[in-house]
Amino acid sequence: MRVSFSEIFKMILETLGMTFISCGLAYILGLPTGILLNVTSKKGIMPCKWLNTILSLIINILRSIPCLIIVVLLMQTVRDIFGRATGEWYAIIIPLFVTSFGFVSRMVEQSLAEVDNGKIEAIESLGATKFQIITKVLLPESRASLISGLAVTLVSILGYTSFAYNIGAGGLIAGIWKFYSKNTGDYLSEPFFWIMIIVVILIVQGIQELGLLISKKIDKRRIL
Amino acid sequence: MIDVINLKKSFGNLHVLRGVNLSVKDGEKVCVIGPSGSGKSTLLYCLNCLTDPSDGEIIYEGKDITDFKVNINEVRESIGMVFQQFNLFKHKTVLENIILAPVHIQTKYLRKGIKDYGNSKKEIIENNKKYAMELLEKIGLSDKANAYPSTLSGGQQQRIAIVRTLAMKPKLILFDEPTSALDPEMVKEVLDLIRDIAKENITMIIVTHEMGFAREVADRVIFMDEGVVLEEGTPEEIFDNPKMSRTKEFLSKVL
Repeated sequence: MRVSFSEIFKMILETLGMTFISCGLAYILGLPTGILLNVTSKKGIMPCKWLNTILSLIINILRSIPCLIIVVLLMQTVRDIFGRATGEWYAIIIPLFVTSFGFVSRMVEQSLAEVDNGKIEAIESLGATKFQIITKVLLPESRASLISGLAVTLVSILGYTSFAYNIGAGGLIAGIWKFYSKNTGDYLSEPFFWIMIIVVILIVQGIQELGLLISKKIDKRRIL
Repeated sequence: MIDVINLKKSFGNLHVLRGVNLSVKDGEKVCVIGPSGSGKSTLLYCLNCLTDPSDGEIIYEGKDITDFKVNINEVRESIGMVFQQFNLFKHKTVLENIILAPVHIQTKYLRKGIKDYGNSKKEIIENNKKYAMELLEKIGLSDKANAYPSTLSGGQQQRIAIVRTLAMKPKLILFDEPTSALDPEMVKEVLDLIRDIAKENITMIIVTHEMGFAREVADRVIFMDEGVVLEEGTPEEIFDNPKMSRTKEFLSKVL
């Protein structure tokens, strides 16, 4: 079996599509949840034990279910939303979003926790409301860390896209596996096999380096 | 201006404040001295409710601000605070640090229809920038307006932090050991600035370990130990003629 460059190109688009869309969804829900986790924690700006415990519990449960199981569990939901649960690249988006949502929440929580408490006291002493503490201090002061967290999240979701193979949702990583199973004897000597792997490495490198670059650029804490 | 009545604060079993009584008049400069752990900073943090007191009252301009019905943020608009660690916002330039709070507050008033500060948000920002530049000019740091705090020395950062407080036109400023985190050669520039502010009619409460400075700038000196005000009086009374043996002991160690 051979793959053409146009097929590889299609796989790249599929992979990027699943990764970025599910990551976007995960942040839409995970960013507020992460903020909530941070502010309701014991040392947060509005401690609320029961809410923090419930959120933590939900996230821990979500995070402890392996991605493949989530894919299976959500089959029916995906079918209800898209009409079918297999065969198309977007079928994997919902499971990926559910898997990474907990991860994103924890990432955001961690980033916000890095903000020095003194900065929060400073803006409180200037008369800021709780909401302003979040928008004027917590988020801006942790933005460099949030961006590098985003890069880490993207790379880990990219890894999870391999489960797309199990529901025939395609993408580059599933493509590599498919290529292997069709050419079991001599797949290592096939240039296309290596090309696809190199593309995956390049994508990961690109995301990571871009994340680092932006993070450094907007980090004003260091002396430039 | 501010009356503290039997203020108590404990963290679990640790009783940091054990009933502090203190009264500060309009325009008065009060220096609080005492050993580490005596509750000086906690007292200061309680005065604008950054730390919620466990018991007691703080009457500021006729209102008990420990009452949760009081909008503490409105109270804080007229109480400035200067921290030991400066606490400038590191992702904002010097100018942005200074105008952040006043612009927000004045815009809020504008939305309520009060046009004292300008007719539009743009005008308010312009006015505040102008005022901030005036203040920076006064402390000789106007060339740093667009710099980020990490590029400045500790002394410069603390002076900017003081200017940030002044930009709110506060009636009362709380200083929490403003020179303790500074290198020795930078202490003077910060103390000089505080001295200058002291000439104006702003009430000041200063927690400090700089005894010479306290003697010079204070109208009244408060000596705190183990969560209570042990002795208070004019600088002469406290430094030259302390009555309590604990005060004598402390002063003999630090002077």
